[in-house]
Amino acid sequence: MQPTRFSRQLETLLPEWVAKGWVDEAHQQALLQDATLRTQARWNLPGIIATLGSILVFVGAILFVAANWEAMDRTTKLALLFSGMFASFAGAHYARQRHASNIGSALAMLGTLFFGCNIMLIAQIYHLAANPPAGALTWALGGLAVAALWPSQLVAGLGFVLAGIWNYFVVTQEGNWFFDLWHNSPHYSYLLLWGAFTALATYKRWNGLAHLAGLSLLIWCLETALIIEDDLIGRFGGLLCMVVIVAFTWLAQSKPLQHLARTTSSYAWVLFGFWLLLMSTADIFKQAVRVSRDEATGGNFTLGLAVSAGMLLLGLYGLVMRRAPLLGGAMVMAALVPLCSYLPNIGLINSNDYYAMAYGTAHLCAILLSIGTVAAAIATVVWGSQNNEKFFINTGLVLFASKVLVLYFDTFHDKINQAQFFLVGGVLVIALSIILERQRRRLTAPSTAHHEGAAA
Amino acid sequence: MNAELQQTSADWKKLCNWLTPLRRTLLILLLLSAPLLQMVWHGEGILKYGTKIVLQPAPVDPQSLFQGQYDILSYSINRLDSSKLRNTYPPKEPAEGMNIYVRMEAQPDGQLWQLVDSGLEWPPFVESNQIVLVGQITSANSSTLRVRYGIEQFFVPEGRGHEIEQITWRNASRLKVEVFVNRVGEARIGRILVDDKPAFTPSGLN
Repeated sequence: MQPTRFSRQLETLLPEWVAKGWVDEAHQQALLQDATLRTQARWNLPGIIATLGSILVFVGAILFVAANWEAMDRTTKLALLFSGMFASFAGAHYARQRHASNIGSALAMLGTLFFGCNIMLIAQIYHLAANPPAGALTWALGGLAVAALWPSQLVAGLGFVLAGIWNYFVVTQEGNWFFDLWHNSPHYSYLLLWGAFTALATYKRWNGLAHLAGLSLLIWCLETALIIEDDLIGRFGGLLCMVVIVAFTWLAQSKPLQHLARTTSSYAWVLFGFWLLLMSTADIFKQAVRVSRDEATGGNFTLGLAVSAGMLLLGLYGLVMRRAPLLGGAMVMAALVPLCSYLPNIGLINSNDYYAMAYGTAHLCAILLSIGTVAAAIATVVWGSQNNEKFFINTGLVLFASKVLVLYFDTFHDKINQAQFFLVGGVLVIALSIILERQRRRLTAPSTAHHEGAAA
Repeated sequence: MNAELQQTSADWKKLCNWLTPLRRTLLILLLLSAPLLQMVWHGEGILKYGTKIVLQPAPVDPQSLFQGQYDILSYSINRLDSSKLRNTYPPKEPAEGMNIYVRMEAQPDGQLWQLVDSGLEWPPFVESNQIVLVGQITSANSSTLRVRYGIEQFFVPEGRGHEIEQITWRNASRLKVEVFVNRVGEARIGRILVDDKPAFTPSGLN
């Protein structure tokens, strides 16, 4: 394994720090090993070029065989397909032996791409009926084997993407639309493959893959919620985010899973902020929270009401007792949206003016939610600055700025002429960016100083 | 318990040490080749040992992203009358995803094969001039069942999908498909025949 720039610098600096007594001599080697392990997957220019080259070779090979298969008999075609895959791994092995691990990894990825290409083209040779889910699953499993045995973070990343493609093919197979998920049942077996890749990434300490793992899990959660009940996703999206956040906050207590769990919950927080922004927009809220008369009289109504009320109480407990104020506040907001949607229905089910009353109350609820969102954004920034959490400071500021802009668009788009609307909007965006960037720098500066002070 | 854990850890380290880079590469190649070879083995097996039958299709021409161009072939046996299914005991109702067993028979002239009957179970007897084709019901909404046999796609050289379409548009009876069927009813397309001569051979469309 070639030492990275950071580990080379550390190698130079550590003896000085030991001499000054800042670092214990016994820990010097352990620190170096850890730094090398953590930075080993970082990419240099030859690695990036080799990866891009691998992708180009893959595309070229697949198009060549697909376009020229008429000129070749079956045996030649098969020999060509297998030799491409074998040559890639032979090259990867040679590169690894010559200590060019990044190029080796890129060639292993090319071999994995050839494997997928071979699945498709052998199916073509024997005129097999297209079965995209089975093909993508076989390809992803091959990627998993290569990622584990090589071992290669790059191939594991490709495997994550292939697992996502498999999931997409399974859930959309019956539908005619690009995102037609409604005719299918949830795809739970995806979690097995996701878990295998995530376990491998955690075991190998491939921290870079935590983002892919977190993001893909969230996409799966959203997709599953849409499949189960697409009408309820607007209303219960916040509760879903809260469940993911709580689960991964709990998992973060385990040291090996800490990085993965924190990354996943970060994506869930961003998603929650986006959901809050959407739900606090009057028109979207009114559509999303509309409860049909059938639903209002059914058993799911009581269940939804109970779950939302439970989440509200839990959130209030966390907020008032200051056990987890940020999480508690978010839970309150997540529960308020479904509760607001149920509010007009309690005791009004037999009213002839049901929809008018429901619509009027929804408007009032949307205004209250808007105020709540602004308050939540400010509270997030305050909490972030108090706890030196840059992520929450940034998220809170982005939520605040987005809310102000949404309010501006919502309020003024039909009240002033277009030229004035865009001029004022532009000035508002510039002013907001300046004010918020100043605030962000001011708020994040103490946390940097704090870390520097701690290091000193 | 602790001793067991230590033993497992020692075994794991032993395995990792045994897996030298060369062995890892070879193992990867073995694992990746296995499913590909299975596909080849299965495909070759049907083409070599399967019974050859000839069917008459009617094609259209869609496009596949990576695999090149293919023609979708539809046959008369893709649509079956659910009221004419063989009786089963106990009686079964056809549903999407169920297997269907279609008995085909060679015509006296030895050319095209025709449907004898179909049912939701393997037929009780099969004559020497008959074969059974296994399909899957893709839709069972009305009295007509839509069935897929895995012989509905034929990959053609890039840009030549329309040639077959034009031939069949002028005279559909010129086009035939050679299909190989194994003992368990699985089918693979062998060749496309135009005027009883193989099309898309290296010499081109006849």
